[in-house]
Amino acid sequence: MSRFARLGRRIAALQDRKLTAMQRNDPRPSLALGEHLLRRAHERRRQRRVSVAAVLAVAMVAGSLAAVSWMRKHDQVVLATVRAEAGQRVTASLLDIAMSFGDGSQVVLSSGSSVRTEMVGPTSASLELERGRALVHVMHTKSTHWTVHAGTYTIAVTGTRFRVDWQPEKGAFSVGVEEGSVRVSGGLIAEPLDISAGQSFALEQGGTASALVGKPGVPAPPADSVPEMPPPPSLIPSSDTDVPVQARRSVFRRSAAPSWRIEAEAGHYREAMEEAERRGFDGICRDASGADLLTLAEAARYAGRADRAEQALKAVRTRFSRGEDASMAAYLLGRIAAESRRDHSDAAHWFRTYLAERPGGRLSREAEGRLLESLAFMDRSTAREAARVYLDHYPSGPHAAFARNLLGL
Amino acid sequence: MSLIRLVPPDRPRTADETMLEPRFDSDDYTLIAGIRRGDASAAATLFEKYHGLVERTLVRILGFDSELADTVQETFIRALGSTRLLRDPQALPSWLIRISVCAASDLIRKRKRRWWLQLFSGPQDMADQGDVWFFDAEADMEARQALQAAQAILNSLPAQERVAFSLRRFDGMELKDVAQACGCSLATIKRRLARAEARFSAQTHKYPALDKWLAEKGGEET
Repeated sequence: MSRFARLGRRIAALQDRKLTAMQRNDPRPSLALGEHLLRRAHERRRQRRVSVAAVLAVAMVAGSLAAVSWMRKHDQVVLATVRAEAGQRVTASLLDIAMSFGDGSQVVLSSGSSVRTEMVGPTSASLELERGRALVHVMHTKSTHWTVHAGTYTIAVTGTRFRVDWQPEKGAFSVGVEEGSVRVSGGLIAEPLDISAGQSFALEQGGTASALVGKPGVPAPPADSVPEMPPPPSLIPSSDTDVPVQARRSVFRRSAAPSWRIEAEAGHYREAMEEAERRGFDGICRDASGADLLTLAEAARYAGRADRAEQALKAVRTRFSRGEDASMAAYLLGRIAAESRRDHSDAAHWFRTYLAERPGGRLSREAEGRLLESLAFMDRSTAREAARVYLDHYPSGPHAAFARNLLGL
Repeated sequence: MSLIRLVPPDRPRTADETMLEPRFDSDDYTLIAGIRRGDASAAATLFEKYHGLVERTLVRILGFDSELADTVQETFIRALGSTRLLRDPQALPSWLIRISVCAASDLIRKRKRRWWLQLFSGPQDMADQGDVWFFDAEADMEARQALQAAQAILNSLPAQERVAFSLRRFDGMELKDVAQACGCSLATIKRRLARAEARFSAQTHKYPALDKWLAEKGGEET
């Protein structure tokens, strides 16, 4: 037995002796004592209920105040919370609406905003902000994979809090990161752009402002306060950059997109043409940039409006006669003549024009091959001569077999 | 929930402990059912049946405190107000011990808060430290001094360590029963007990009578 156990036994023995003496004199508890104890217990329970209710009420009020304060900070007053599901379209008409996700992530849509959920997984989601502003808070896990699309822009998220603003009518796009970081790509952005906490990025109408402002760790300013700054060179490449046509669509962006162009780049060619006609097709041909006219011509071509496509391309030829856009327009005019009008003579003219203007250009092989096709419909001897030239230039090109067939090889 | 053994198996029951045996025919199931119905006689019976158990547990922790009777009543008020939480009426004794421990711990903490408030609010009545001990007139001076010393040291311990030490060393509870009464793990109780004993040992040299008691081997209780 330890010394503490021995000490304890001696003390306990003294206590027990005293207790015995005390309890010997205790009267038997009366019914009144029972009533008294029960009444006190009942009162205590009621007080506890009132206290718990008061604490809950205070906590709710405090929570509400904090939430309202936080939302006010972000100009958000949430009307309701909806549980996000795939294929859902949520529109916040007059008041803000919060969307909750299974992993605890939340998207608060400002009034006048609309979002569509393309995919919702346990720790992933893909949303399309159709218009307006959203405050996105993504919970970070190892497998988090969130993507927010706004027009042609894409925001990749792994766990962060940021706001995104997208006004398709103006082509205005902005992102402000409060926590973590996001990667923005697409649209007018030449290369993926990492935006950290405290930074914001905005592209405004006409490409007049394109800036990454703020320092990491410093709270991002609201979108409206982003100052106009010249675009950073890395974001907008020079118009002289020698890039293929297909690559230009995703890399080369010269100005903020007009609405018809947004539709065209989204593959909505008919809508793009409707929009262009509504805005005045002739005016666009008169004022738009060469790149925009090339996009418009392609949209018209895919929408079955070869006439409008040729009008846009001829506008490029007229207004930008010395540029690469003009040569590109010549090549596309040749394609339209061959494919839409079956006018092989005209097609051969335009392909020759391209080859004359851009000897050794990026589309020379395709232009020579298309020329070969057109000539084959017109004059076999001329076509055979062109076939020899083609095989000399591109012995393993896509039209090599056709050229050998013409030559009987 | 297992019943707490009130008396260690190696310790003979004293005649006084027979008072803890129920003197009413009502079993605990009937008693709890009556209390849940609001039956005052059931409440009175509960008090009569378990008053001794509760009082002894509180005395082990607090000593013969000036607020002992109030704390006993407080324990029963808490118990009567939460019988719906008692799923197994067979566990009523150990449940009452648990409530007694909570009530005693609350009193100790309340005292410490009060002591600090009095310290900052100027000289006031500092006598109410809960260390008022009563012992029989025949207790000799050495026992009186040892008891006072033990109480003084206990008062200096943190509430949790004091409760663990009192239940284990004074009441002779098994460690697992102490853990159950305190609502914590066995490992936690072992740590608390070790710390309490270390603090206790560190102070005994200030009190010769207690030091002598601790040094003695064997011997009968006085």
